[in-house]
Amino acid sequence: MQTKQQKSILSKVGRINNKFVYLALVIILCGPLISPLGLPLLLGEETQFVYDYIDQLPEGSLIVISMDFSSNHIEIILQARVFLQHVLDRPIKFIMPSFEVEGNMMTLQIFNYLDVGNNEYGIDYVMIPYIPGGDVAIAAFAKDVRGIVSTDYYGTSLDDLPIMNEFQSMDDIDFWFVFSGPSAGGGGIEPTIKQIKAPYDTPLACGLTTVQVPGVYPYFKSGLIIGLLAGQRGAAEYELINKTPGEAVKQTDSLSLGHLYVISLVVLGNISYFYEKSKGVKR
Amino acid sequence: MIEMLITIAPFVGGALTLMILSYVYKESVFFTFAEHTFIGIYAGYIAVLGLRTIIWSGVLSLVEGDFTRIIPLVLGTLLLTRYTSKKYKPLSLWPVALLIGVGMALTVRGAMSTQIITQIIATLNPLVTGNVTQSLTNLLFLVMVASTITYFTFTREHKGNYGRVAYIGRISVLAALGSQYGNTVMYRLTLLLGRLSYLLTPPTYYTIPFAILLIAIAVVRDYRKRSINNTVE
Repeated sequence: MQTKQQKSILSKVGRINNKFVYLALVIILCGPLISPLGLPLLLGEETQFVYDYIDQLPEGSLIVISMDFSSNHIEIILQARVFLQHVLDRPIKFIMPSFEVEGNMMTLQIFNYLDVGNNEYGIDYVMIPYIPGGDVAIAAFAKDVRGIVSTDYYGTSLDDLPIMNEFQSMDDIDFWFVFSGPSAGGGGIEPTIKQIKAPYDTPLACGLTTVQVPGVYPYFKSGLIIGLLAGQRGAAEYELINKTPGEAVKQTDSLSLGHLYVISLVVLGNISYFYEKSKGVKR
Repeated sequence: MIEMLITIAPFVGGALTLMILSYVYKESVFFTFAEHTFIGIYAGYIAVLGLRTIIWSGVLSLVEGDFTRIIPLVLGTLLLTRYTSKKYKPLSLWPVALLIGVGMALTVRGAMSTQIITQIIATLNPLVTGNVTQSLTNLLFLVMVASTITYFTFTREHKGNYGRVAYIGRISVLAALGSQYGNTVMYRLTLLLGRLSYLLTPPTYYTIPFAILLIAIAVVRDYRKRSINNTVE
């Protein structure tokens, strides 16, 4: 038998069935995906720094884009699409190693969405196969890439690829960008900072999932990384700066409404909790 | 064959996604099937990738004349002695020791400069700048870092003024954890958003009506079962 206080609407709000909460969340998230609202988005300096650095790299620069993320890191997939398209549109060359198990697979998937233009594989860009070992693999790659891999992802000898003839030491690398997912044991931003930034002082930036941002932000503030793409928002910001609004910008509206929904649930839940506590209702 | 697989892939992906999301209603045979499929495929992919890495980086290089590859191949094989009898198990300790030693050395090499010295320097920002907000931010930053370190120093009892500083540290830690929690919630929402975006993309969205029909059948069945149980009681 429910007491008078438990029947109160304030009390019922704190006892909503989880299924209805999730159903409402799905409806709120799907709405803007079907019909975008066009909510404003402020651009962060950390994203702007990354864009500006890529934009000012001179023609013929050689950079490394490390693909250290998995298929469940949706935010990084969105970042990678717009970032790689920006790099392909510039006259710079890039090498794509992977220190994460799914990195190569994700690279191939992302390239389905990209327009390579006049860039040629082997001359302007190359994909290196997965190198296991985390810190050790990154250190070995930087010291002597031919010591740990002899071919690219497709089995072509590195000596037969013109772009790899330009990479003899870390002095040839003008910039290192790492797409880093929050997984243990593989590559990522922290091993890269320790093995690339510390010994070689190569300019470094990263694309992260939202959950990693608080832990990596001190590296940005201390100047160890020149910028970072912070989750799905970072991808949307980069699309806006690059003037190619796409999937990430479309999803930002849903994300904003989703956050408002979660905040409202937190507030209602706390109101219900303190109401019941004041009435002495046992949960 | 490949074209057929490419054609049906979105439907299979959509169906598996909806099966996983059905867990929100209740755990069912559909969820279990999708879960086991994912684990099986992932394990298989990692196994093939590992084998390919050993063959390409180790065996093929050895065949081409790079005899230094014998050393890592032998050490890698010794690792497997962990699964043999007690007599041969100690052989696996040699490659483990090498892995840990080299890994630790490389980790410490970069950690000292990037995670300790640089971060200490970055904490000591000027307290008097041209911007009042920036000055207050720098001061707050310094106070929170110092008080947090005080909170985690257990060689002295947290009493008196020392205890008050440690209390500020405790609040700082809670604020940081709150920020981390908020980011985790945002991350989870993004994961769901990614899946919903995938489901709403053609041709995957053709799987949604079937999922709604199955869920409606499940809901009606459960409702009737509950009604019968209530009537019996």
